[in-house]
Amino acid sequence: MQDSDWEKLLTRVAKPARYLGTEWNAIHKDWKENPVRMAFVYPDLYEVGMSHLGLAILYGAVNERPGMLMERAFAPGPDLETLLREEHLPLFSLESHRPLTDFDVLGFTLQYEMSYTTILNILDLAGIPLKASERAPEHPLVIGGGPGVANPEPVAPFFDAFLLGDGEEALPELLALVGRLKKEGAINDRRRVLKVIANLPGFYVPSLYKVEYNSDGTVAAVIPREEGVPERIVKRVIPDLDAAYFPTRPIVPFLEVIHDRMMLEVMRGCTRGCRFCQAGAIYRPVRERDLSILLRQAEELVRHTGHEEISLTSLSTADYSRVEELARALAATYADQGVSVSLPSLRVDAFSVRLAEAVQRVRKSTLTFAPEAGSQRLRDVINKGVNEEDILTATGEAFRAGWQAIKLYFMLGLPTEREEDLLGIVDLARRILDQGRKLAPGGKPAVTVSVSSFVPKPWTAFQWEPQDRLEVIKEKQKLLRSHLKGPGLRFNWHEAEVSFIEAVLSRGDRRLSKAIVAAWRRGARLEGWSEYFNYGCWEAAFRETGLDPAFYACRLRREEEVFPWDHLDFGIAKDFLKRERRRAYEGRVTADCRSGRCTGCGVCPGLGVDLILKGGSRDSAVTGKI
Amino acid sequence: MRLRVKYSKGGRAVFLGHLEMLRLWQRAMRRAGLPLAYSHGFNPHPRLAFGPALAVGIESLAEYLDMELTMVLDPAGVKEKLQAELPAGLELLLVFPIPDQAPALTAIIDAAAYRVAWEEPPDQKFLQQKAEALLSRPVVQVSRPGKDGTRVKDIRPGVFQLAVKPEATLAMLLECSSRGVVRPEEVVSTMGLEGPYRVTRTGLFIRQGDALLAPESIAATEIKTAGKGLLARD
Ligand code: SF4
Repeated sequence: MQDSDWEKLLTRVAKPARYLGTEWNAIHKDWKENPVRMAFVYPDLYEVGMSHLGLAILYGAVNERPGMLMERAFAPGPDLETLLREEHLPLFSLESHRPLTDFDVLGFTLQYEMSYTTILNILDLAGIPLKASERAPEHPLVIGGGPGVANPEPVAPFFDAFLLGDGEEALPELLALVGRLKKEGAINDRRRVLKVIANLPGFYVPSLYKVEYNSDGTVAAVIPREEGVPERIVKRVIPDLDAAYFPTRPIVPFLEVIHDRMMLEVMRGCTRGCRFCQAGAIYRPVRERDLSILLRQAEELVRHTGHEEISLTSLSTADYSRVEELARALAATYADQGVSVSLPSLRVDAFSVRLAEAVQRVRKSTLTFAPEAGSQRLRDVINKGVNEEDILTATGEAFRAGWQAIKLYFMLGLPTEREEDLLGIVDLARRILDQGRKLAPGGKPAVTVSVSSFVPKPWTAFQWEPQDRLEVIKEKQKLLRSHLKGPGLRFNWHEAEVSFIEAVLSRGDRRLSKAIVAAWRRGARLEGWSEYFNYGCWEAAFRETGLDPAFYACRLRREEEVFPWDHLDFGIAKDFLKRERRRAYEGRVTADCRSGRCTGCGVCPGLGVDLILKGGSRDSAVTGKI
Repeated sequence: MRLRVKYSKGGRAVFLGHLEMLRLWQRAMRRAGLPLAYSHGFNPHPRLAFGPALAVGIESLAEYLDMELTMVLDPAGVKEKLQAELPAGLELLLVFPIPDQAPALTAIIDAAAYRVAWEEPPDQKFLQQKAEALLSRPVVQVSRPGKDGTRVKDIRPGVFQLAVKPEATLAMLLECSSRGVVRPEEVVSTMGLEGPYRVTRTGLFIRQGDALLAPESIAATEIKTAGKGLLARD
């Protein structure tokens, strides 16, 4: 696109700072010198995409290498989309304003099922056929990565390949391969290219597999269509994060983005083993970073970004074995530079509160905890690993330390849930509020209960479980709403319809791709934003395609059922999940494997990796295994 | 110590709004390692004060901001360090100390000069007539859409000077103070002229009688007056 045309577009949109591409630390590599070109496409608005650590990591990891470049693209705001369509202009990358079709590879991250329609919209805006099978040799290879690849089948027809697991090594490998094929002039033989990619570890080329179905509509098998295509695809793992690339010169956005801060990744993975948690399963094993490396990275981040906040990120940061040392050191070092430290995810315990207290000078904000379930019985079913005493001690500490507002996250519709579990939520919220009134007299304690609906996810112990039907979820929400009233109490809930679509897509098979197309054609996009989500689009899409969403979301699956994702290997053994499921029904908790006893999830031996803990004052390193 | 900064804003940086500029400066200053003074209280923030806001999309040759440092530093060194941390389109023109007691930029600045240049310039004479016609009117009403409905405002008292320059560009000196602001587009459209045109803010001034002082003049030992020469200067 001509710069002047592009600038004219920008004068006509509400937030031009989304599309400038000239942010601090943005990389503009020379196109001639870098013959392998990829665009990382985040299927959501700039503000969401720029808050994503994975983008920063891959952007740096690719651009650091000679011969290849990566630029960024995001879903355009609705105002820019209208302009692009009116003027017949293609969606462009931020750095060089080139149409996405100029790139060799387009990489989408699948963070969330509700972005699938946005992916189609972006392909369409870029002028790329939605289906991989309809693409010509000159079209970019469309690849996907991220947690959605835990089960990419519903979007399989739209992708040339998926990458399972960590990308910082695998992606440059893929690009090097593309470079080689380009040089040899073999890149236009798409079939051959795909077959070569299918043999790169961690890459799944869905078109090389066929799905067979049983008469009851379940999957019978997903098998290679031809010889020389691997039967199972094993996820990629960076065994040692200390040796891995980490971006200490990330792009500093102009616009205020959702998470507008430095991100220091203290570890990857989580050992807690909550039975509903997909991230906890697919990012195993835990790999901690060395304290000295983290301190150095923090220093570089501060110097290169100028941000006012460092966030210690991971799935469960308070579990990092040297978190206290790290947090205190950072808070002390950067306090007089106006840089604060934050911990985005807290465990429900007193240690976490003390940690937050140590680093947070500002205590006006809310402290958030996630007990997930309202009764001890149900917390044991999901293996949450906290009891009522832990929760009350934690919130008590918080009130004593000066916090006034507590936010509690719960899930509704968990397996085996009964009315008393829901009333347990109410009871817990009230007890915490009373506690606040006692411990912070004169203050105005407030307790917010935020409830999402349980979505059964692949690779969890609950992958066989049905989701409650919409009416049931709504009734349960109503029950909570009627009880969670009164001064100091607030109640938030997620739209049940969104969770329903999420449940359909997360455990779906390839046939659902038709419904995704149909929903998109009816206008679905940017569905992570409640102002754009339109359930009507989906109802009509299912009707039109003859697919029954309840078959995917609300059906109890047989234990021996073949799942659409069974040919993918994230290291977690299905037998382990079955065992965990049984233990859930029995209300038996499973210990955290961080404590030194391997609970046999299969990841470490299966992937030939190990838990990497850095020791420290609280825990000793894990060595023993059973 | 207090430092006053004069900078220009061009290129893609013109698309950055006031809030974005605020964040950008804070971050650039932190990267430059400047010992910024922070406000006290719960949520400390660096002590920065800006001149009048510039609308998104407008280029400027003269923007100002004041910053407070906890140490006495050489302004030239600050200028060099800070410039190295600024994204494309922002250029530091001056960095100079001002007295601790000096009034804030927004308290003293009351006029802004603009240049309007058309992509396809109108006829010079025609433009001249239009300018004279506007200046001869005692009242010039414009309507301003606001939160609670559209308001009608007389902008004539705020049009201080208006002159046609070579190649049919239009120079204007408009009120830009805490009491009121006249926008260049308002003047252009009341003159019955149409786009596409480009607006550049060419200066911010303190009016003293017929004289115009630039904010950099205030701190200088010898106050330089620009005289009536604004429109002659560019
Ligand atoms: S294999 Fe054992 S030690 Fe490794 S993550 Fe699984 S449970 Fe933990």
